[in-house]
Amino acid sequence: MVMDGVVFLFRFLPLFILIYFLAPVSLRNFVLFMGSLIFFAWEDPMYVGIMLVSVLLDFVYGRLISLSRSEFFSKICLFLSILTNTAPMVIFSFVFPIDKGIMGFGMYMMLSLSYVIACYKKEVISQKNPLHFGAYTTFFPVVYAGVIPNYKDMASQLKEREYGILQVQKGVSKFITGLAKKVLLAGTMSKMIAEIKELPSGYLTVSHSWIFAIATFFLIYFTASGYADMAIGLARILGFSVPENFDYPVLASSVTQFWDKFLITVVHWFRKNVYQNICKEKSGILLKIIATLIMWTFMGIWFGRGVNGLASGLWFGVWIALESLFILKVFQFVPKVVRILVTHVIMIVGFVVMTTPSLSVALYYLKRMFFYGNASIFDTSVIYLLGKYSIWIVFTLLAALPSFNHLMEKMKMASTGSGMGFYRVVNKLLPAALFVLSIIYLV
Amino acid sequence: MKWEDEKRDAWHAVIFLCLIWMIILLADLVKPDMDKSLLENKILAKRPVFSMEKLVSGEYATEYEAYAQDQFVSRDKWLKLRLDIDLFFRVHEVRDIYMGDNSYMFAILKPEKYEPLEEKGLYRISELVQKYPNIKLGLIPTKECILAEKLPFLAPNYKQKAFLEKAGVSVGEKNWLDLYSALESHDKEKVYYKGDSHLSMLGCIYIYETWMGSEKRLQRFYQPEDMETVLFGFRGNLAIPQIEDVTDQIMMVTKITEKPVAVLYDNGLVASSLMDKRKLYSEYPYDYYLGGEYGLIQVNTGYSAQGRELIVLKDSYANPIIPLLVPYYKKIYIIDETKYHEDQDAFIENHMTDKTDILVLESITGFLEN
Repeated sequence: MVMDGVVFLFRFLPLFILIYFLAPVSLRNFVLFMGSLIFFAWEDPMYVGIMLVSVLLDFVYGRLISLSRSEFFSKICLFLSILTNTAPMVIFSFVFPIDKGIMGFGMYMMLSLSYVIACYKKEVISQKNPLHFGAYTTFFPVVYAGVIPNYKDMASQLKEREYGILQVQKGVSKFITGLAKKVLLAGTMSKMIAEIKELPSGYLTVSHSWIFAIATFFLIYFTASGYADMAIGLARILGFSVPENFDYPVLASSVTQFWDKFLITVVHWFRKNVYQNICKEKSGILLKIIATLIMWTFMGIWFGRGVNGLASGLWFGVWIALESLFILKVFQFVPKVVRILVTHVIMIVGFVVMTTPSLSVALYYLKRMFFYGNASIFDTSVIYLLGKYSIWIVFTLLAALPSFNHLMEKMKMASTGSGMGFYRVVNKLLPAALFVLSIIYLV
Repeated sequence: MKWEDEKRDAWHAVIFLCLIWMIILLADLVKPDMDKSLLENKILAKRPVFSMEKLVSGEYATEYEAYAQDQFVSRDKWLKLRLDIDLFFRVHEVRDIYMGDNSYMFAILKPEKYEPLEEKGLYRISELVQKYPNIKLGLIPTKECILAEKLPFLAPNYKQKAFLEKAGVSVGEKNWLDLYSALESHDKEKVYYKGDSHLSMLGCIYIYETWMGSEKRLQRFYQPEDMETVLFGFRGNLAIPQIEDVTDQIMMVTKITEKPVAVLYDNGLVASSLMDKRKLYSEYPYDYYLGGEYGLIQVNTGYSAQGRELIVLKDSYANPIIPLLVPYYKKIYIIDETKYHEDQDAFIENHMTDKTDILVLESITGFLEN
């Protein structure tokens, strides 16, 4: 079920929330679990089949690991868990590729696997209630959006959580902000991309290909961050506190820093469960580089499609490795604007590779971007294209920067007067206005 | 901010949003399904039939999502709001239509669609000239060319003039009709409809005069006052009444309908006039001229015209011009190349005499698309 579709927003979600809050507190995890299964089964019942089996297995592995006293037996359980979780991901990435996008097949597996690993490392006590475990691993908005809350943080919330109007209001406004980001901003970007994709080779100027690449970057950013906001908002309405997944990545001045601000929970997961298992803080530089490359290979496969996913993962991995070797040291002497610019060119190139259907298509756009061949640099249709979407381009840039949020924070801090009044009015009306605006562009 | 105030604000915000949500939701649940979106000119998805198999395969979900999206409450009103917002931000593009100055609507003719067809077009022109040395070629520039200054600023638009110049040079003066100059010199007059892609009757008269003038046979002159309106409120193929109700008038030259003609359509129908008045009240009133689109129409005009005959290869742009040619010919054969599925060359050879003129009268875009 797409989270920005009519069926979700006007059928599933209202009904789900109604049942959730009418149900006694003790049954809410059950409602959540069932809701998640219906959410995923709606489009592909097969998917839920695989999901249920792997959730059940991981629940059992978790219990076995915590009950067993033998290190060897725990290791076998962990190994089996890794195998059952990664096999479908590899199969659906390379053997029978499916269009998985951001809400990848691997999402609930990562949630589930991180739990088993945490059990193995004795960081958490294994979950005794399969319903609680099921509610955590299949938590639909979170799984759909690619946000991975730590099991450790979630365990207590699964048992007991707070409900309140302030929570709900914050959740609602976060949810609507996410919806607007996805529908209005990512929607505009994908329209621009579609228009440029239609251009035959002879009409694709260098400027077109840059607009294509930059729009691709913002499309991914606002799709992922829009869904993440919807997930975090919805989780908050339901009483959960889920970590942020984005922290204004456009301000990043190195690739390393970018990935500290982009898909934060996912990168953190890979760092914890892949990178840190290969090398430690004190390990030598060579091992660290190998670990980085392995981690980013996995990231690429998880995030992108087939060979393109792999290539983009390696691209980011190599840059991060180079940064740790010397680039960051050189960067100290470079003005921040230049650093930000260079970082984004690298990111944009990577995102073009990641999202295009094959390497040859990626190369087609990249060559054009970097003046390879004798395509013209610019024609007037570029101005028309930018003019047509200008207002949404402005909003996209504004939404990528923290200025509006800073302004709202300042207003909130103002104890009296017009600042406070402005804050209160905006706070009350903005979600409703954004909601209506999103519907206008969603129909 | 006081805690109580914050809490009260939170209640207000949540209740306000939920109210809007619920109203839309309830309205969406109770409203009846629609067949068609007028604004989008699109048939809307129907409620899918439920079956267990379809549910399991995921097909039901896909169909239901399309249905819910298409049948969303007040769909056209939301779309209209979107277009209004676009217009407010000076985006003059709706569906595949540019909204130009003075309520002129234009088709979006992308250079990348037509430029690659030019070479083939030029080849076809030279082929025609070789085959029929006395052929006249009249390629009609569309309004996007003649009225280009009314298009939105910098809107991509296929440059027809450049192609016409190339074609004119390759054909040579003897076989070429310069319709660009004919229309461009009258671009301040209403030579095109506002809400339809075709030429108005006035535009057609200028084309008729250009051709007959070039043949030095122009005997009948028509003035604007010789025309009468046969239909007010014509909503053409580019009009989107939900956005802006652009209407035109369908006109006809009164003088030419002096005597009945014998018209034979390729579907076996016969008629005594080249104009079909019933079509004025059909979905597309422009079909009034020649009764719409047919592959082949044969006309016995009833004039002797020294036994002269005419074969016209045309598209819909030429439809209103044909009636003006009636007094000049004994017989007229009208072939629409897109609709005529027999051997066109064989037909021309069979009907060619030393008194037969052969004329191509098509829009540039139509010609290139063929």
